[in-house]
Amino acid sequence: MEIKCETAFEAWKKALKYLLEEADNYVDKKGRVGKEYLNLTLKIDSKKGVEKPIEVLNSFRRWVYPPLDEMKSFILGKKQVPGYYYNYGDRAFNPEWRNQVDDYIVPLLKLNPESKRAVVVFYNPEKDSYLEKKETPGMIMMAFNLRKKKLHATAVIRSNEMFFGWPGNIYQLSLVQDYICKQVNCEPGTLSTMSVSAHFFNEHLDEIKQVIDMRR
Amino acid sequence: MHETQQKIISLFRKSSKELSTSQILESIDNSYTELKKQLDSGSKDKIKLTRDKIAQLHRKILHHINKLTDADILRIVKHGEKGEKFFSLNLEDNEELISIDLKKRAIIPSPSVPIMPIEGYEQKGIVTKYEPATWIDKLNSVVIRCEKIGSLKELTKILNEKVFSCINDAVCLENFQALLNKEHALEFLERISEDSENYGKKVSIVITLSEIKNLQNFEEFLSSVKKNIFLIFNVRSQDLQEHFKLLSRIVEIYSKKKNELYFKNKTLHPSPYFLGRAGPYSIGEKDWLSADIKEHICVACCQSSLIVDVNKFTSLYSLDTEKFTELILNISKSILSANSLQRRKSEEYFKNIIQLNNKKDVLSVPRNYIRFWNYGLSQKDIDPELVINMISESKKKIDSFSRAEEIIYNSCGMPSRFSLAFSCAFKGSDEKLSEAKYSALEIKNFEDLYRKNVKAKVKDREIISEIFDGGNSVTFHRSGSMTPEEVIREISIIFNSYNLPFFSYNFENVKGDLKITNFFK
Repeated sequence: MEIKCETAFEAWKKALKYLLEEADNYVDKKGRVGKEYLNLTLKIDSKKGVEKPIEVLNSFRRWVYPPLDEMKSFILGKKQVPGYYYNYGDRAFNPEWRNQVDDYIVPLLKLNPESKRAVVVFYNPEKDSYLEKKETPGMIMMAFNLRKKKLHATAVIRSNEMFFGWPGNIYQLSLVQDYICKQVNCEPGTLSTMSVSAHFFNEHLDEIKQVIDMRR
Repeated sequence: MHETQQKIISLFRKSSKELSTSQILESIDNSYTELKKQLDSGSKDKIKLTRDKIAQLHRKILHHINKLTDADILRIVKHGEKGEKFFSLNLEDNEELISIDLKKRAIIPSPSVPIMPIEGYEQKGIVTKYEPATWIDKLNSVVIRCEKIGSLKELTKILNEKVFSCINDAVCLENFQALLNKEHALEFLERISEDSENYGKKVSIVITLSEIKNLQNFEEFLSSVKKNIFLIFNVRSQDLQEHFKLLSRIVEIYSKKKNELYFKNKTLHPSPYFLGRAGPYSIGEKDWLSADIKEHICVACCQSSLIVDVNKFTSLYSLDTEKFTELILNISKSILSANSLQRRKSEEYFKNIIQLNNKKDVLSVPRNYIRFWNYGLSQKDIDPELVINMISESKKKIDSFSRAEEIIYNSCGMPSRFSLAFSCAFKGSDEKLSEAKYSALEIKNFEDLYRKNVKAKVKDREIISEIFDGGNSVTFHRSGSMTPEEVIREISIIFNSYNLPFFSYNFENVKGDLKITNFFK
């Protein structure tokens, strides 16, 4: 299933509605009941208004979303931040392992703009593929394709909680897209997410319905 | 660091003023005062001898003061009439001495706490941070796995050099019998009692009754435990019969000393449960057994705590569940932002624990505590059921909030643990708390445990113990005459009739002589 919209907010609302109406009931390992749909793709035209879903979540005043600058420092940070099981920034940018963005994607796109090899992989089998491992990256990879001077970004997310999680994921994807655009001197293009397990939990059904019913 | 140097620092911390060499000596060495008295009488020769001894004490203390001055921990502030030096502690309000090795003296600035949605309640005295000065840069409590430690000497070293500097309340010595079965613990007890006093930390020693092998060491230990150490027995119901003689001896010794005896029901709660100045602490079984910490010598139990004075809340807002839930939610948001700061600096703040465990993930298990004071149990003017309901409703909301935050942070690629626990607060946790409004749970004999009013009181505490997932301490105040056998019978009834994971027996009001039998012969 692919949902195409102009803005992140519209895509988010449509995805939640689709899950509510079409997805299967699902119970996770912690016993939480919800809805799940496998392989849901969301595509938005541009990063304009990409923070809106986070603003909507914050407007409920029932939860605390990490501040945008904190999220930025995590996704673009080059070092492991202590106290967290893993960090996306460390996985993507840390030169101790491999700075996949600065040392690979940027020079690659400069050398070969049409390349289909511009990928960042967050999942590391050496670190993550263990049965006893409690937390492993939900976002597996990002891919960047430069077409007609626009950089199109795609994220593959193995487990994607769509109500709380997706707003953060699309924002982070836009940040990395923006970063690469500045390095290779191009315009940002579309943003897409491919959620292998797109789900939400019924515990937040009231708020989900409120979001679905929201106007712009 | 030398013991005398520790005592000097502790003295300055308590007095927070300028002290002369003589004043330091007088406060630290009892023999100095005795010797000074001897100067008033006796022969010339004796007086000369006494003067020599005093001079010797002065030289000794100066040696340690000079070392502290060289390390910039003390500074000379003035010279007195006869040229005697006066000293003060060379630490600013926002500085904390984190290393006890003088050569590696390290001072880190305390972090500034961000603005939080509880400040209005703090001004009204409804909410207080536990130990606000070290709210972020120290853990409240940790558990040491004694079975992973080679000797009591090593344990002393670990506590003094690694643990005390990272916590602001309590340490639990879990499975202490593993060391006690191998060694005499008198020297250790003496030292730990003094150190915990000097450093202002609470120590709980947890002993699994069924695993005591060296009875001689144990009895010697039992007779020497000081009142400032919490001795907790980890017991299953069947142990009460199987180890009846041993338990009788414990009750006999403890009731004679009028000490409080603590029991943890191992069947209901197999993992650590202990006490601090703030209140009780516990670790859930699943967390205790988790692969993340199974190799850790020192397990962090509690990150930060906030205390809610329920009596002050109800006097302003009555039993308004909605308002109360809003307050608890604001507290949770405050703790969340404090946690975020703490996590990012954890390698710096908890360096000693990381070194001790040889693992970085200090914060994979600990919870944050919301503690309640004067929550209306046995309070004449308040229906306990209504208060319990108010706390219980807010707990549901908080659990939902914690789950949502875990999803949010995980989804944003900032996966960490955020867990909140409810518990009771002890009076000592903050001096500004309202006057205690609890009526004690008193029993005179086992029949009292079957009386309607006592059963109702215990039942209330049972319900609260379930809501207080971070720990609750129920105290049975024993009065009248007693024998150890009678007390064990009562304990057995409590074990078998109530779901109380942790309770204590207070013997302060017990009368008369106990039957003394040497059960070890």
